[in-house]
Amino acid sequence: MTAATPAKPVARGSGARDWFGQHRSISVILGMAIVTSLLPLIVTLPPLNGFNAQRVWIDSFADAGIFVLLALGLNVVVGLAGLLDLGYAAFFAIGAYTYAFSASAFTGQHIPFWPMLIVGALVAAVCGLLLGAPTLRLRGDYLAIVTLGFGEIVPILFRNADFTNSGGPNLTNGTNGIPGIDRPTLPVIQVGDFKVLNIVFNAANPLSYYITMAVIITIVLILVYRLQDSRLGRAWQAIREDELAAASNGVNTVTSKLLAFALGATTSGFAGVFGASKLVFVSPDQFGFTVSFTILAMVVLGGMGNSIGVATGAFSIFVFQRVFLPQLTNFFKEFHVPILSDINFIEYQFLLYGLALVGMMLLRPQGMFPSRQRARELHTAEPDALEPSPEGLDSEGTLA
Amino acid sequence: MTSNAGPTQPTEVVPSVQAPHEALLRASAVTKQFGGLVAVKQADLVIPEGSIVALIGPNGAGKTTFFNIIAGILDPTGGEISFRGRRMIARPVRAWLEPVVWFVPSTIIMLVGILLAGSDVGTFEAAALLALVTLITILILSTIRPPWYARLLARLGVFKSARPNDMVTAGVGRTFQNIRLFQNMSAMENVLVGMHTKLKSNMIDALLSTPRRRREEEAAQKRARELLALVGLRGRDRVLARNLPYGDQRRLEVARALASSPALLLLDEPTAGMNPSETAEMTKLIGHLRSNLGLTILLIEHDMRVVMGISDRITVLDHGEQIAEGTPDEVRRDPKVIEAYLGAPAT
Repeated sequence: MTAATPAKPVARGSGARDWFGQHRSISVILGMAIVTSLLPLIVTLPPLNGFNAQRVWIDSFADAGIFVLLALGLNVVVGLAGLLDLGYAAFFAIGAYTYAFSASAFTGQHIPFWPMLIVGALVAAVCGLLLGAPTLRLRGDYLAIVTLGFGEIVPILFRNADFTNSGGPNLTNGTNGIPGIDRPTLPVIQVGDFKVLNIVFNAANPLSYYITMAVIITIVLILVYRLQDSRLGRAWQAIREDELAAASNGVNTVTSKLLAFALGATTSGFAGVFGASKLVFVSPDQFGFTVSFTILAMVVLGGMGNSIGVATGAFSIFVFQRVFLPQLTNFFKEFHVPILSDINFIEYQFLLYGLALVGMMLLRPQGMFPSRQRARELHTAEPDALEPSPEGLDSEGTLA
Repeated sequence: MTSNAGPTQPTEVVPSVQAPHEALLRASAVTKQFGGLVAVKQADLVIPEGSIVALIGPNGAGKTTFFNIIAGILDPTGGEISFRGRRMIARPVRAWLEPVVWFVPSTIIMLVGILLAGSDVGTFEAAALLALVTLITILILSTIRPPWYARLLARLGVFKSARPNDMVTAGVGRTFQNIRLFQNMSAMENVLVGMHTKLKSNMIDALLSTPRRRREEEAAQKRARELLALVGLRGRDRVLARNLPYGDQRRLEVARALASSPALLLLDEPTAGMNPSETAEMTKLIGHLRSNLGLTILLIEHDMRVVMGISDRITVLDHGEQIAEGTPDEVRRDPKVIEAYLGAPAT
């Protein structure tokens, strides 16, 4: 029996790369720590500090974090399990309203933020299961339509659950939304009269929101990576490739898909609770189809299936629309460029998304930072098909 | 061939003591209709433990349909299939009872709530909310179908056919006629997916990255390498499935099916499209699986040299009906088989 030709390993990186691959959680923590500490400093440098004050920048970053979380969650559903979800903002709404009900003057409840972060995520997860259960048999377009419907139902429910006109209770304050939601609080740690740690969450101090967000994203990233490499992650990938073959090899497609929906919704629930506590206001208009679409565009542009790519994509798109589009408008206004100075670029946000998506599909369908897996799927077979294995049957039968 | 097994006979359901040549799988009077087309008609099949049984027949005879019924992919229109003496696949019995069961706890909660509440609206609302939550919980549970839920239903006399993954858990592995590998996954990953039912680490283990998960993952990769070596794909564990040559893809499919440590292996045309030397290797592999690993094998095959060479028993299907059953020699001489393949003699 001749020795088998060793399989060519996929382009091996340096030693450092291997180390970071093996210690992914540590690398994620390190990376997030570096990025989190550098971002507030970078914006004080010349071109960027002209756009906004540092405080405004940090505020935008914290808001961007909400969309990073949403994109990470949608990436589990769409990128890993391959289930197209067009109504993802519904879970965002459910998380936000859960917190609004439990911590605002509207209901008179004032449950602290931190436990509600978990509760909101759990409520969203249950709703994820509720959406997942009836859609298990659906694929592709059909699933997309049902999720689209779900995404419309939830905000409409919140909008219309005000029955004061017909003499009923006012459950959600209708279109006006719920104002006056509590901000997170942390206990002040005091040594004598000296306040060692006094973190305050308010509009004037976005840094505490920013750091909280960074911590949540770090945790979510680590967990998503661990899931992706686990038995469940492989099951999702198998379902995405060939659902029937996956089922015939023992993958429980029902629970795997339900878990994908539930886990995606969980992340969205975090984002919802966080978003409500930061904006201190929720209304049904914040969770329309445009939000679902924006998140999906972020996932696709970032690189489906690759968490870091999706996070980077969501972050850059959000910062682009939040900071650079207004700046662009101001810039052209200031210099009186003909035609361009009359355009408010923020209004053309979705036109730009559309153009970006079309361009991306033509030039780089796998996204800006694709996962290796997705890149393989989108490119046709590589020409380096191997010769038949010369080894033949192992006559010893080494199977235990 | 015993074809007397009716669904009402209690002896069929109770698992009996394993005799050396106990039937591993028993299909009785299996029928499958697609609208007006009867794909499989009253087919019986007994697969003794440790044997190689072949299912042959002209194109469109219903072989693959029969296979898919055994694997739990298609629900039969009639008849039943038991594996290791346990009824796995049949028409649902008392299926209407299940939705009724869903509402029982909620109804009880509501009744108790009404009794306790009297005129107190608050208690009544609380009971209604609890009943709703209970109903939602049960609906989700019924979708997931954990084993204890299935057992509870079985105790109530409700029977539902096993899902494909239940058949794998019970010990039936399969390959496909047209290769259905996970094309963009490596050979190793394909086998690891096949090992899915054997891995015990759950989501919590994965999230916390527990030592149990790491140990299990290492053991699984080691075993996957062994399986790849067994089918002759040593050292190809990192190659993408779609980059493997055709014959190797077939072998990888066998390795993937073996990964769930099945007792019964269903091979759907394992040598289709192979050249003579590849066919010989595959035949050797099938024989090896039976004699060295003690597997029972049911195969669909068109290559008569393969079928006659390794099968213990052969079942012939034609137009969904079983026309012959017996040892290779018996089948070869059977006039009905000759007629099915070559046509009726001129009169």
